[in-house]
Amino acid sequence: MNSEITFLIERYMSGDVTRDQRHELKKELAALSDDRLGDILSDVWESYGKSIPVGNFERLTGRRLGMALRPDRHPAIRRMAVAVALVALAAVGGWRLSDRHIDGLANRTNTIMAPAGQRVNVTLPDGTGVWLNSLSQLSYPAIFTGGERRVCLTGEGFFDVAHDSRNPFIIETERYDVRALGTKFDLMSSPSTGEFFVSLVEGKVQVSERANSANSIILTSGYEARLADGGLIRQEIPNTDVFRWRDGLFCFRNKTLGDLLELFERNYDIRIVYDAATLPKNEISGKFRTSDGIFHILRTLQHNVQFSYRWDEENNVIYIVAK
Amino acid sequence: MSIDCRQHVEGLRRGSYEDFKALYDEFAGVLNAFVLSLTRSPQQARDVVQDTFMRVWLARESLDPEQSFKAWLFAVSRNRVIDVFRSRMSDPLFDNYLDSVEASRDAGDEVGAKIDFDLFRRRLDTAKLKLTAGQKRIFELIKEQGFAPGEVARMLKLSEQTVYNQLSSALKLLRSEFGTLTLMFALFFD
Repeated sequence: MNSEITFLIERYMSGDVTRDQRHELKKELAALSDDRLGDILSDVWESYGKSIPVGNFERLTGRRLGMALRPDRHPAIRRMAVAVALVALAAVGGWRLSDRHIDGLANRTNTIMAPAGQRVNVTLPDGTGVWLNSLSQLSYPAIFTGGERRVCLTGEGFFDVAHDSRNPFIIETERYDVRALGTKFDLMSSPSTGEFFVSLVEGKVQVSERANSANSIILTSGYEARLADGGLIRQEIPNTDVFRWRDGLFCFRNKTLGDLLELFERNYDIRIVYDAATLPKNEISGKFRTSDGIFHILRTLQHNVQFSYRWDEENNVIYIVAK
Repeated sequence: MSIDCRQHVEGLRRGSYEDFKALYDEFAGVLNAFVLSLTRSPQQARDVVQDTFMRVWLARESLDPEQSFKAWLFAVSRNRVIDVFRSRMSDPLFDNYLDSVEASRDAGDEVGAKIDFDLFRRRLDTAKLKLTAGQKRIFELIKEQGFAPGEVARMLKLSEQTVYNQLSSALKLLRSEFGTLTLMFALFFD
């Protein structure tokens, strides 16, 4: 009888067993003492990797599995993302139209905010193009009346400043002013996380501390300035992926799960609860389309990082637990 | 057993971490594959390997250099291996999983046939978010805990027909949630 079970177990382990044989195995196992089962498994172990063909199963699992299996993107969600984008576009278009009607109110300040999970593209009265990232806010005058062009940013924006050397373009953020002539750059200033950086694609900008304008640095293209340890640090832009949020992509390199969760919370209208201390610290790199949705992204990340999540739909909270 | 291996065993007995590491490198993979093919769960396989080698380190002084290290390794992990194998084989959801893998393979669905149990469970958990509380409870009682629909009807004081209806609407929702993948195919078979 033992040899029969041994045979069944070996077949089962190599993933080569019929449904009937499996039920047979289950029945036999239930009748078997731990001692006997232990002896049988010990025999199987002794010859394991020698006489037993290493089965379909473990040849097929392992690293490649994570790569092969990408949860399917749901067409319904994609359709929804397109609809949301259209609504956002309509909102921006609508605003421009009404702005033309109120042209006379010269000193009016407009404020535009990109809702969670969406990005908004605005063209300012001077022709400067601004891409606002999710949950970011920009205030600017309805008309630039000559002299300095001043706008106010909270969050992240990509600026393609219209060239006008006589009227410098100045972006006020919580802590720093960024002064530009004609340039393209990405600027992030987040009061909630304290993050601040400017990444320059083209041209030249001057970044000065609002409280002490003598404390300023000049950035040229290909460089970024980043707030770290209370001061600005200048370095070369490690890669241009950081600009790709404008195309609806999350690109990240050597980030931990905790870093990404912060990013997702900012980009999706959802609260994420986790204990940072227990999260795995391995670094991951990759990119996602923001329109894939947070659940697709979390499921895909699970191939590389050990965690589980629970979605409290009613309160719109995701709970993350390290495994 | 190679000469090298013997030297490592002697080193390990003296408390050499390098020799322990060498033995780990040599045998952890085999043990991992062994448990994996028993449980189909990478997580569980990793847990058993970690646990076993921890015990190996703690019990290093009782190691007999004359005995085969491979045999000793199994002796150390024996109870854990029996436990994980038994609990897997008596888990109704695991049955569904194996049926699903088999069905995927028969249908020529390479991806479905390669899925491991951990991933299967995660995907199921995600899909289950779409169910109502009632559907979820009935699905879990029948498909995960192995109760018969009749028993569930008595437990929940529902008619058997209601239980069947709830189950089939749950299965229908899950099926649509899984979209094009034939994975889970078998779950909806019976």
